[in-house]
Amino acid sequence: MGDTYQERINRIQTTVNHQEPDKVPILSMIGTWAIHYAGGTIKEMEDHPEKEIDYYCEPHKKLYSDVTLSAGCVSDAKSAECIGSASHFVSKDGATIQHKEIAPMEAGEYQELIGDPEGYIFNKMLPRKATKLAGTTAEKYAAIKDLVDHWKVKGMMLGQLKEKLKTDYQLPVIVGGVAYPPLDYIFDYLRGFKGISMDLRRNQDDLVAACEAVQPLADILLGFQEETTAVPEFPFFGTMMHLPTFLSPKQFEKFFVPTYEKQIYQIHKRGGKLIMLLEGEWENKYDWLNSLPKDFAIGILEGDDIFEAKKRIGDNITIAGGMPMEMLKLGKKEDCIDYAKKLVDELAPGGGYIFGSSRELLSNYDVNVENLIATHDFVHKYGVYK
Amino acid sequence: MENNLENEKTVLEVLEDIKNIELAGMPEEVAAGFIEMMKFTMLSA
Repeated sequence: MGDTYQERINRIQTTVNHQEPDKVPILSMIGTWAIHYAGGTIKEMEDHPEKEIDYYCEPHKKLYSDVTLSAGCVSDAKSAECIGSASHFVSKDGATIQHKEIAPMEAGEYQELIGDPEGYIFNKMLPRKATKLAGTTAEKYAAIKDLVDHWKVKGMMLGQLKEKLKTDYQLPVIVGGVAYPPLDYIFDYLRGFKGISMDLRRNQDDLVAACEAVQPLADILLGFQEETTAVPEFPFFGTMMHLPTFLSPKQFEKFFVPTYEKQIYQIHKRGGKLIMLLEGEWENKYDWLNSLPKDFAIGILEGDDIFEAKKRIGDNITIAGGMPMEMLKLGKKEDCIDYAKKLVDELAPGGGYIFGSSRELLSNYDVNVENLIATHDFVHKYGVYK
Repeated sequence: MENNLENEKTVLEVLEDIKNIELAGMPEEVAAGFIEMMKFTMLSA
């Protein structure tokens, strides 16, 4: 009999508390790659929503994991289509979703944002990028109703998918609530690369005030109320770090940290934990990672030297990832296994390590499936704590 | 264009209508949570 759902959760929780579990836990991050792997398309998923369950279960028939990053395709192109936005669209391959940056907020509108964040964002800015929200009341109603109808079905499918992963594959999903950093909220949806780059230099006071102004909107995504006294230790709250890799340590401390820390300490004081996708390189922010409460956070490293990171931040946070995508894609199977062995040998002692790929898999071309399956199988068998 | 639409309801007002009409069968707290999810979905879409 295989490992049970609870055994896998125990494995994760033990390592995150810097104790040695029975085996090195393995994280799969299969994104839209799952759709490719299953031979499906986004269009088929839209026409037959139940296919999302089949597509996102298919890889787990052969790929061993103790936990998976997320279940289903959350940032879908259909939602953008419903409201007339061009920000997400399906690639020519039919199974990968691309994001096009749309930054509708002007630099001179900070005072409006700060004065009435919700009114400004939804009534003024959003209709600039979502054409169906710019028309008459009836047109707006029809567009939002389309979106609501789409998510009534999709939400049900995602719930069923999670349940099927639990019952049929004994597989937990690692991310529950979302900790959305207020600065990334402004960067991702309001100002974009060009705008935020200018604001970091020319509109510093406005940007700091705007982060504080949008914080209540970002905090809604945590999914708990002020009066909530405790949250489960598992699943974890997830953050995808977008802007930090482009910030100097000084900018990070001034613009990113104050509001994000308010957010994540709300999680910590209620007993929850945080998993961060540390996109890009984070070496110049290791002091901050070491300032977090011990055993509170998990960092999936993307561009850092994971062996060096283990030495410098690995006593405080759990390190996850490490298996280079380039090697999984182009390397020989033996070389992949040798590297996986090195990761386990050097990072697993004492706990605080979760094996996985260095990035989320999105496209069919991201990995050689044989290498992926072989490394996961190897770590599951080899990564046994004595 | 804006002048012609100035008497139309805002996105937030329409969302409130959607909650009261389309989600009328849901408990108030569930409907409110669903609308919050839709707001973030619209923002990120």
